[in-house]
Amino acid sequence: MSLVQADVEISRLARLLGTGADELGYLRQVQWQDIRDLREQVTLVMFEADRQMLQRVASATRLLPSKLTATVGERAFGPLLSARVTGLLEPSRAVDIADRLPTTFLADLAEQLDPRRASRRSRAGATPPARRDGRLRRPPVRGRAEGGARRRRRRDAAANGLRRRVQGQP
Amino acid sequence: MADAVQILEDELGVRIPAGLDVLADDDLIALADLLRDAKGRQAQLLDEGVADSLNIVPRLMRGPVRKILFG
Repeated sequence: MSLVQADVEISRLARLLGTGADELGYLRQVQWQDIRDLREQVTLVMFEADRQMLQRVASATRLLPSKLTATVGERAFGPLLSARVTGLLEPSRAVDIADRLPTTFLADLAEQLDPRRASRRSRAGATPPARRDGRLRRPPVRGRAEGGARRRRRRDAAANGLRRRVQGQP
Repeated sequence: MADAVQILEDELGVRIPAGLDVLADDDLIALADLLRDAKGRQAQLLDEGVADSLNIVPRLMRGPVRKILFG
């Protein structure tokens, strides 16, 4: 079991560092709890790096409509930086913007969200959802290019997972 | 060993978990290099993203947005 946990932590750390898990194979000789602690330290470093500029970007989004902010996030910043900025937005604003993003982009963004902020919000209490059912406004796109119904369901699940996380819901 | 630990701790800003002492110096330095590279890539992505974002924002709004971003 601990080897499986070690591999999970190595994969998470590799994703944070933008490398492959194979590159970190030497960590398998370390106890998984120590890999987890290292991964948490790296998470902190990566989310605090460039915080000042990220905070300015988050502040600038207040001047823009949600639709335009979503476009800027998708075209200019990409999922990694959008996740960093998302952590600095008010949850209701983050949800409003998320509603205007493609589910594939949201799924990528959700993988990069700061888990510490989500858990803090969870303890502080949930923010009311943008919609009563908490689901996407946008209907799923039809057609073979999107990869079929099962793939769309996975994307929607990821998007709704993001929505719950930015709202601090379990 | 001490130098390699110090190099990684300098990148992390905190002491490394005690269990990492089983790693070879080369592994610790490789971790420090990966972290430094990741921070550098993130900073570069941010610079490029900020520049690109100003091209997407409507011309009328660029001034106020630029003022928030760059002071």
